[in-house]
Amino acid sequence: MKEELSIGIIGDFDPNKPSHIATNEALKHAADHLSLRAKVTWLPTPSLVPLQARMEFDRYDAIWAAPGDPESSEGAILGVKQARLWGKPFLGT
Amino acid sequence: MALIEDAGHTAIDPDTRTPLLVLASCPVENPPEGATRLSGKLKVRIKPNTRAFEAYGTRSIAESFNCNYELNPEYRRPLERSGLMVSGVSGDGGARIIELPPPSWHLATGFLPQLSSEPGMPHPLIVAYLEAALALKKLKTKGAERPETLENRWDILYRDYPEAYEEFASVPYSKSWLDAARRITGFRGKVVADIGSGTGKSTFEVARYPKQVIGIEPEDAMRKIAMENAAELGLSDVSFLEGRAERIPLADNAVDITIAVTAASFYNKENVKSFSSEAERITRKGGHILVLESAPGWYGGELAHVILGKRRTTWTETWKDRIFEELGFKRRDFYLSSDYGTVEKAIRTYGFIFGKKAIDYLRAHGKTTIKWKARIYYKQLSP
Repeated sequence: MKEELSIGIIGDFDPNKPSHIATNEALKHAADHLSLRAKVTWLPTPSLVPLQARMEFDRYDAIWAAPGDPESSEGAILGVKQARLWGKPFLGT
Repeated sequence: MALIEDAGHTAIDPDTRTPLLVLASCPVENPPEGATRLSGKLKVRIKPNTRAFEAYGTRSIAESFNCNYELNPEYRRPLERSGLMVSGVSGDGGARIIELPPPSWHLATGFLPQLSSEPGMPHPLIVAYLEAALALKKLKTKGAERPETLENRWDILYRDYPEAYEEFASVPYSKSWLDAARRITGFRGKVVADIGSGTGKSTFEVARYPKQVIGIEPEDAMRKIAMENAAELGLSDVSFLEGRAERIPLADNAVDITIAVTAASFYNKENVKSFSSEAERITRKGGHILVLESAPGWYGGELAHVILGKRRTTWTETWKDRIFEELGFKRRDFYLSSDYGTVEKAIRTYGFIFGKKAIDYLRAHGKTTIKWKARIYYKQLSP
């Protein structure tokens, strides 16, 4: 069985945004290349404002900050901070 | 870390007084109608010895931009001075890739690597990102077979988790206990017994100076790691014997110096006494006995009050001071700090030993270093 990586994406997924679709696909391309499975969860930025929600970050193996203007920049910034605090691999694009 | 209060983004607040992110200066000539200021393919130069360079393996690449904003050049120097690295720069000098120094893998781009990824042709930054995630996960799943923490059960640690002990003992310290010890006596050319040598960390450290070092350790699992490490390090003047502080398997006057470095051998007055008489027996006249311990009240370092639920001032192991004093030892204190690099690592190594309360504290405060007050008890045998 393929090893699975859980990726949490800080961002408000919009299926009309090519960059959002491309983020999901690019993760799949890279995971295929490494013979892994990438399980992607989008984390809406307003949901990340309460600390409780960010404590859930422990379940992700890495955090990504998606392109585009976040609905809640506070949630987005707190999310990025949490990833840094916990030493989660992080990519912001 | 640079502190930029209320860092602003001119897209959110055009009048922000701290414009960390600003409209990009115009590197694209005659952009098509409706395009963003930074759009299409732009060349980015990659700085060597960075995560970005590790991923790309090349000094220059073309990336797809679709962005209006960039890091305000005025903030670049202060951010770099505080540790942020600009690892990718475009022709106009704009910062296009930034990252944090290792051990973290934190990287952000002003372009969209995901746009130039295709099936069978993944983007190197995204591959490197997943590799970093996988490496961290493997480290943790290895840890998942073990409980989150042993809650200060050093006996279980020594017996069943020698690797975890090894990891804990390998954390870099701001200064070595050896620097303090060498102010009391020189080690060069001496024969040294290291009592409670564990996985051999203190033994190998001290082995840089003397003629011969003999580690004494009761736990088989720890001694096994110590011997493997000695073989790997190619140390021929280091050996390990089974034995305990109260019964040291060495002849009378066998060594010049006897050391015990956080040996966990001293539970009560009686066993400090038996160690002391054994150490005096194996150490030659004029030789030294050195015992390194956490200073009273510093069990687990600065988090003693969190771990023990008591204030440092009301809890001290003064019995230890008294018995060593009675036995003719002097003492000297010094401070050091251990650096875990990341909170995750601190939780995995320090938290594994010192318990749930310590883990919660590390997490809540984002702690990556622990300060310790150490105490050396020492005695020179009369010639």
